[in-house]
Amino acid sequence: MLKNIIQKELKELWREDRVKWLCIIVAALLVTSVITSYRYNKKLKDDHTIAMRADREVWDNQRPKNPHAAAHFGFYLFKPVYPLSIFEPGVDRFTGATLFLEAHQRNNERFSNIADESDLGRFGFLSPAFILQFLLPLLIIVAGFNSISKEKESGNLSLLLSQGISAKKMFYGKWLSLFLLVAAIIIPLFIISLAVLAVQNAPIYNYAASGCMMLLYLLFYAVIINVVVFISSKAKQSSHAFIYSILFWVICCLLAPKLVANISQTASPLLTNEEALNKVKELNKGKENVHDKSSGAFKHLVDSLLKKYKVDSINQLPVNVSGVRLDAGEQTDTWNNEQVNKEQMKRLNIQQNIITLGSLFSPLIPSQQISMALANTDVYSHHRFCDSGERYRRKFVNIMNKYIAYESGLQESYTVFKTGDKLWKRVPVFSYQPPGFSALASYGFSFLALLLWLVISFFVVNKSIHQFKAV
Amino acid sequence: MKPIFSFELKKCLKSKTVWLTFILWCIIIAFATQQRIHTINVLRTANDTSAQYELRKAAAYFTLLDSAETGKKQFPKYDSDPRNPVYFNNSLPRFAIFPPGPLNSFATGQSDVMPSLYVISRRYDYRVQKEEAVNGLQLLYGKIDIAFVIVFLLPLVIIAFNYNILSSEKENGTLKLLMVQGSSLQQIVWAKMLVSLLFTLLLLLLPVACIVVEGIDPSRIISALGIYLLVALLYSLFWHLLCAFINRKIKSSAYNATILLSSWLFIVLVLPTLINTITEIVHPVPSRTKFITDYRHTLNEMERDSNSVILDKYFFDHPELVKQDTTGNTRNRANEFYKAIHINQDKTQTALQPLYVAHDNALRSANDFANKAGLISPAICMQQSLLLLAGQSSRQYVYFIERIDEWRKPYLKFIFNKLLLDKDVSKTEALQLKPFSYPPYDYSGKITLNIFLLLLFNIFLIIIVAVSLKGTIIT
Repeated sequence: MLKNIIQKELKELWREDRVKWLCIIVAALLVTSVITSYRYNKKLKDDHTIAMRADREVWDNQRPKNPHAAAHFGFYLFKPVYPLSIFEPGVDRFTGATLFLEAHQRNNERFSNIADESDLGRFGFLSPAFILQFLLPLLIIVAGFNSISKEKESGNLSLLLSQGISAKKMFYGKWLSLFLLVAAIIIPLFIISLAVLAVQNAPIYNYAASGCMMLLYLLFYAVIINVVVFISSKAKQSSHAFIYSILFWVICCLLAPKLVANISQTASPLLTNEEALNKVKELNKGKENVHDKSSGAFKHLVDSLLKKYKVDSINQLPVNVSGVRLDAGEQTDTWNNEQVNKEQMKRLNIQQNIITLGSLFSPLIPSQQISMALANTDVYSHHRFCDSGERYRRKFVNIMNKYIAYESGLQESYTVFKTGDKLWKRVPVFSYQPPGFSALASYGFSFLALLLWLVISFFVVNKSIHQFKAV
Repeated sequence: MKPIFSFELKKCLKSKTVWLTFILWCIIIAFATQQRIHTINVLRTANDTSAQYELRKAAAYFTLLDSAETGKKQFPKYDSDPRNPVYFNNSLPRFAIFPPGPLNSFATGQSDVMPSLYVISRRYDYRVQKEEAVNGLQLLYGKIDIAFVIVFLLPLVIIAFNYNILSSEKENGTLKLLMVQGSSLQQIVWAKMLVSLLFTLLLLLLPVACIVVEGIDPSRIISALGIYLLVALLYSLFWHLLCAFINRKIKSSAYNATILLSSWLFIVLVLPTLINTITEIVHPVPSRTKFITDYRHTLNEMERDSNSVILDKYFFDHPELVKQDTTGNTRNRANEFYKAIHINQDKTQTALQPLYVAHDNALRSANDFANKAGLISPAICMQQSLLLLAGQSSRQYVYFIERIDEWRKPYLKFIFNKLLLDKDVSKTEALQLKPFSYPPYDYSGKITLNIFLLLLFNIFLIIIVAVSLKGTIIT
């Protein structure tokens, strides 16, 4: 029986011009978007790989110079481009693609793609995620807005019920036919994604994540179908059902995300560079700067060194004092940066939590968050990369400073002392691996919100079925 | 036509949906304006603080320069002598603040990703200056501002009120009645549209009312407001005409709604993303990655044998580490060192110049291509006009940065020449170096083009609607 209903529904859907055409358009856009997205990603990935190698080459081939000068010359890191970002580009266009590492300070990422784009950039780019998140819900609306209301309008509903066909079966027949419609688009896309990943030789995580992404979207669409069917069963006319469904879509996909973006920014603005600088000043207040040779801190450092090596004057020391001083200064700087970063992450977390709260108004927000996390293109993935850059910064600055202090064998001020490429090569090559599925840990509330949407929407739809039993 | 008009007007005034829409519109517009003005104020306060700091520094410097020139105070060390060009450069950095346009409170534009304050000095290469921390997700979602509400939501409101102007009459059976009474289809459509347009005008005036409530004097931006109303009215007229166009065949209301919303989706959402994607293939923005690679390469190449560019930068921050003459004659030794640095910086900047120019040109032409291609969508015409009026379009930022480049050249040259010729800075000369100001970006041509295109869309639709309504026969 259920099978018959589904068959009939699917046939009817396909007979509707608007559904057929929209399906064809969506499918065509999806194929186009996979191709263009693949192309963009490949170029970006190649660019970043070449740039990473080129920057390392520049570092290795520096002319002989002072190690501290080299630490100021620093490194540019380029954010890795992950295979799944073809399907879910996430926030990558909006965050800086490079990170400049230098002595003393932790920099923000630089050069986001969006800053270079034309005014059209904010309208968005064609990507599979855009289609899955914005257009497929619309397809569901166009296909399903009159699923129940048309049966009511044509009087079929009473006819069917009077013939003893249970309302539940009819509902689920319609529900499943809508679900099969989107599944018919999602599952081929999943197969395409596996092929694309295979072409790229992607790590095994991505295949699993791609599967999870498919399941996630199916859950999301289940929620949308529930809402659309519910509206259709409640509306007096099909055209009302259509308008209310579109209103739901506008709130879910356009208004709610923007609203939470606004509120989160006003409620917890990120530290500006100026504020960060002031915070460092505050942290340094009352503390002596070991960089300053006339300070007590510097004298204390020298005294402790003299004591440690049991000598009477600086000239007898087996270590270079200015190197030790740089090292000590760097430790203070690092600690300061750490405090500023902690404050920054606190503010960012508040922003993210406010945005996640938007899940209560829009099932898109939690789905999108999880989808981005799976593709390593969410905000937290970005910050994990920046954190690993910071760890690398400490490592290489430390190598430079330690060299001046313990290996230069000089007593002069470090500024006149030079060294060559052997030291440059001692710095390990930067590498970063994303954490895989554990990245999802930050999105517990999003999972919960999506499940809540699913459970509540099913519950509400079930209730609206009971309403028809009485007819 | 008149009786239909007055009937529709009365119906509109009594409609609950109209009032509900109006109230929701008020709430959204008030929220958008309040949020935008809050952001503007936060930014302005921050910029003002930085500017005040620099101005105080400059005032202190000039007092010092005065006392040096009149001989009131002696400066035994040339390092701390205000007449020393190096000292001048260090204590008198210049700043450029991005000047927003008259309707800044209407659109966020590029203001959330572009810096609005640049500090210019020989010490910094402002091309690779520090960037502010951002939350990418916020940028991805975008802000609710007036531009968003008008470009995205206003068409939806118009569609909701006009998708069934003829079809509802047919479905209610009142169409024949009207026709019998001597009204033509055209009269019905125009009369109904006029009522809806009046309502739209009211909606379009609300943002103006909101900024007045927020304390902005409208008389100072009256011409910009006029242009805004003109463009926005043309944009709403376009959507009205589209509704009439879809209604001309008098099919079912559900059919009309589906077609109209698909058009909305296509014009507002899909077409711009398609244009972006095509631009990315045909005329992509230049790669920043490549820019950085070239930049770094040049820096590495330009390193002096004796010392490195980057170390020089370090010495600027730590002048106490600069080696001084054993005889205590710091004047010559220290400045010799700075001379070397400035020559080197000059060489580096000259070497980098082609890179900057090439990057800027490629960026500008890519943006121009996208902006021009975007003109085929009325939604993009509307958005571009609003951004231009708000002073927040990407073109205005590119123009601003080019002006900074121009303005800082004589300033840098001044210090460079003084240093190389071993000359002191005098107050009269220092005062001749003008603070940053530039002729405002002329957007009249671009907006005229937008208005012209919107007019074309409208005229085209008016003709089609008029012709096809005349030919429609009610059966």
